[in-house]
Amino acid sequence: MEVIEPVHLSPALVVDDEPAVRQRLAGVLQGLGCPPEAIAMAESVAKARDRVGERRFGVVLVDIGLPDGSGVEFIGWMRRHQPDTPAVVISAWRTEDVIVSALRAGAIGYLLKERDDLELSLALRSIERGGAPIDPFVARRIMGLLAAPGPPGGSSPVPPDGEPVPSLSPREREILRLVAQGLSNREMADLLSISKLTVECHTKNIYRKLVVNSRTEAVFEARRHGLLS
Amino acid sequence: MLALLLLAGPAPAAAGELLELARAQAVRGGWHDAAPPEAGWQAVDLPDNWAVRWPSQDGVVWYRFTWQHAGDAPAALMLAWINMAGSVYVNGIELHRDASLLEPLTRSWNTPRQWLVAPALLREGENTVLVRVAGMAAYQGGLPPLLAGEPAQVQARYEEELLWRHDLPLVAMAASVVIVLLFGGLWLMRPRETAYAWFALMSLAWLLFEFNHLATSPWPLAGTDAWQALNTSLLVFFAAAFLLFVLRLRREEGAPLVEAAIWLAAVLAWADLWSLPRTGMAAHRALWSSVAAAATAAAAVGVFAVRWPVSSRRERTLLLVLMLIVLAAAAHDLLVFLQWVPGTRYYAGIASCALLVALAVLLARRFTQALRETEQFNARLIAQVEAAKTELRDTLERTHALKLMHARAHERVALASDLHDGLGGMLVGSIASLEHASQPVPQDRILAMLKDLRDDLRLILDATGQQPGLQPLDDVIAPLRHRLGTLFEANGIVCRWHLLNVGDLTLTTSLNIGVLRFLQEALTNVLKHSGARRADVYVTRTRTHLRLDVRDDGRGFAVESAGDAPGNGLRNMRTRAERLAGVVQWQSRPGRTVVTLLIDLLSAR
Repeated sequence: MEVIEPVHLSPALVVDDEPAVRQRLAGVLQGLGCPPEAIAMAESVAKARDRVGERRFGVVLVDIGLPDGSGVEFIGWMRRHQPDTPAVVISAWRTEDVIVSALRAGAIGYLLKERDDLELSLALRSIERGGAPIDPFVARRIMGLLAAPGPPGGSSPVPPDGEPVPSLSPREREILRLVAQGLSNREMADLLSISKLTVECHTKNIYRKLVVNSRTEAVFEARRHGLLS
Repeated sequence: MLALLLLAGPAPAAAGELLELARAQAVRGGWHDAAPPEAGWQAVDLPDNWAVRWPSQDGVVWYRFTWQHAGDAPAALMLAWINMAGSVYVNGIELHRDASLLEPLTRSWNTPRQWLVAPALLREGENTVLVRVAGMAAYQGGLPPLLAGEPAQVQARYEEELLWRHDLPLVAMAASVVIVLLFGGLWLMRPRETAYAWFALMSLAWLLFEFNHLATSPWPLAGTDAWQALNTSLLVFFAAAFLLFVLRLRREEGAPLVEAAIWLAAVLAWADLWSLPRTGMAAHRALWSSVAAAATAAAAVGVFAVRWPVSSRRERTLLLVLMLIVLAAAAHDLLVFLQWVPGTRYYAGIASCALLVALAVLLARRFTQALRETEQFNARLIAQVEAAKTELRDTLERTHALKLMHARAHERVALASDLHDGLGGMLVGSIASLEHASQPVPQDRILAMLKDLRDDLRLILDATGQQPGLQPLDDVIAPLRHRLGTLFEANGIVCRWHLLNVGDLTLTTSLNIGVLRFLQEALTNVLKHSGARRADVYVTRTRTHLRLDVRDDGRGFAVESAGDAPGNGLRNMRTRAERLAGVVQWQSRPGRTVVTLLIDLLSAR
C-alpha cells in the first residue's frame, strides 16, 4: 500500500466552459476553505494549459466537453507535464467510454455535476484527505473493464486502447465489488475491519493502476519537457 | 438328371440284355390261396389293371412270366410297383414277400423293388417268375412289366424308378412342410391375414395327399378302403382350401355365399366317398378327383387376376411358367389316374416344388416392397418431423419476439406513466404553488422544489438502469444507497443496510422506481427530521412479498398526524404504494420509528 498523500485543494484550477458551473465549483471550493484568490478559472483546454504553465496547482477540476477539445486530453497532458497535480473530472456524462478513458488518462476522481453541492464537497474533502471518491456506477465500469475478454491464452485482458489492464489485488477487487453494491466507505471499513482512510487509499490505488503508461515514463517525459527540476 | 443317374450308376459289367417282360399269364385266386389254380390262365399285357378284365376281382391275381436265361451269370429282377401287396417266386422259390398280404394290405403300389437272383436259383433255358398280387379292382389292382437282366442295368433302372417314385416326392413333401410352417407361422403372427391360413391348410392337405406316394401301410387307418377314401377326401379338401385361399386373397373378408357353396360341395364329396361301397369307388374317385383338379386349375388361373404384388414383367412370366408346369403335371397325373394315357408315374407332387419357388419369389418381393415402403415412410416421417420442428421453432421465435415487443412497449408505457405521474405531478404541483403563491416564494423553497425534481429524475434513471439487460434489485438500489450513505455519514448518522434474498430479484421499472422513491422518502425523513443517531434499512424478500423497513432511533412522530407533520412525504408514500399494490405502515415512538412498505410480488404488475 502506498503512503497516503494529502492533496492541497489550494490553489485550484477549474476548467469548464459554463460560467455558472465555474461559479458553483468555486463556491464549493471556497466552502472547503480555499481562498477566492487561489481559484483559477479556464473555459477551454488552451486557457487551461496557459494557467498550468503559469503556476502549480494543488488540484484541477476538469469538465469533459470543452469547446476546443476533450477534458480527457487535457488530463493526459497534465499527467505528462505536472504528474503530481491530481485531476478530478466534473462531468455531466456518465457514459462508459468517457469514464474509462478519463480514468485511463489519469483522473483520480469522476464526479457528476448533477450531485448536490454538499455531495461534491464531501467528495473533494475525501480527495483532500488523500482518498479518491468512487461511485457505484464508476466501480461497475471498472469491473466491466477488468472482465473484458482478453486475447486467447493471454494472461491479462486488453481494452480497446490496446493497453493491458493491470491486475488488481484481491482486496482491491473486493472493495470495487462493495462500492458497486452501494456501500459507503464507513460500511466498507467496518465490514473489512480496516480504517476508512485505508479504504480510500485502496480506491486511489485502483485509479492509479488503471492509468496507461507507467508513472516513471510520465515522470521521464515531464523532465524532458523541463517541467521538473 | 436321369442321364446323370445312369452315368453315376455302376457300368454294365458284361454285355447283357435287359428284358422288359410286358406280357404275362394271369389267373384269379382267393385271398388265402398259397398256389395258383391250374386253370383259367390268360395272357395279359403289362402294365395291367385287372379291373378292366375282372371288374369285381378283390383278392389275389397270379402273374406268370417266363424268360430264357443263358450261362451262369447272375441275373437281377425288378418290379416298379405291385398294386397292392405281393410276393415273388423264381422257379418256385420265394424271393420276396410283402409284410401284409391280407387287409390291411401293405401298400406297395408305388414302391420299386429289385432282386439279385443267385445263379443257383436260375436254370439254363426257360425260367419262371410267379408274382402273387393281392389287391382290389376298385383301386386298380395290377402289375407293371417285369424287368430281368444284367444286375448293373437293372440297378440303373431301379434307381431311376426310386428317384421318381420315392426321392423326389420326399423332397416335395419336405418343401410342403416348409410351406405349411412358414404360412402357418405368418398367419399366427397376423391372424387378420386369413389367406395365409388357407394356404397353410391347403399345403397341409397336399402334404398328406402326397404321403400316399410314400406310405407302405394304411396305418393308422383300418384298411385300404379307408385309406383310399381319405386320400381322395384330402384332395377335395386341398381343392377347397385353394379356392378359399384365392378368394381371401382377392377380398380379405371373403365371400360367404361362394365359400358356403365350396364347403357344401366338399362335404358332399366326403359323404359320398366315405359311404360308398367299394364297387362304386373307382368311378367316384375319378369323378371327385377330376372335380378337385378342375377347381384347382380354375383357382390357379384366378391367382393371376388378384392383387398379388407382381410388378415386373419378368416375375409375371416366371410365375406363369411355374404355374403352367404344375398344371401340366397335374393334368398328366389326372389322365394317368383315369388311365386315359399310359404310364404309372405321378409328377404333380414333384412339380409342386415349383410352387415353392414361385412363393419364395412373391414373398421376397412383398417383403422388400414392404421394407422399401417402411424406409420411404421413415424418411418421409423424419422430413415431416423436421419440418414440424422448424415450423414450431419459427412460431416460437415469432411468439417470443412478439412477447418481447409487448414487454418493451409495456415498459415504455409504464415508464412514461411514471414520468407523468411522478415527475410530471411534481412539476405541475411546483408550478401551481409558484403561480398561486400570494407572496413571493422564498428562494430556498424554489430550490427545494427543483432538487426534489432532480432527485426524482435521478431515481428514474437509477431504476431504469444504466446498462442493457435486467438488473437485480440490489444493483438498482446501489446508487441511492451510496448517495444517501455518504450523506448519513457526513451527518454523523450510522446507516446500515440489510439485504436479504434480493440478489436475484428483478422487478419491473415501475416497481424499481416505487422501491427507490419509498427508500429515498423514508431515509430523507430520517436525515432531515428524526434527529436519529442510527438508521437501519431492511430489504427482505419472502416467497410472496418484498418488504422494506426503514428504522431509526430518532424522536419519532405522532402516527395520527403523519399525513401532515413531516411534510407530504408519508402521504405521498401511501399514494404511491397503493399504485404498486403495496401497503405502507408506520410505527413510531420516541427512539424507534419504523416505516414499512410491503409489496405483493405475485399480484404486482
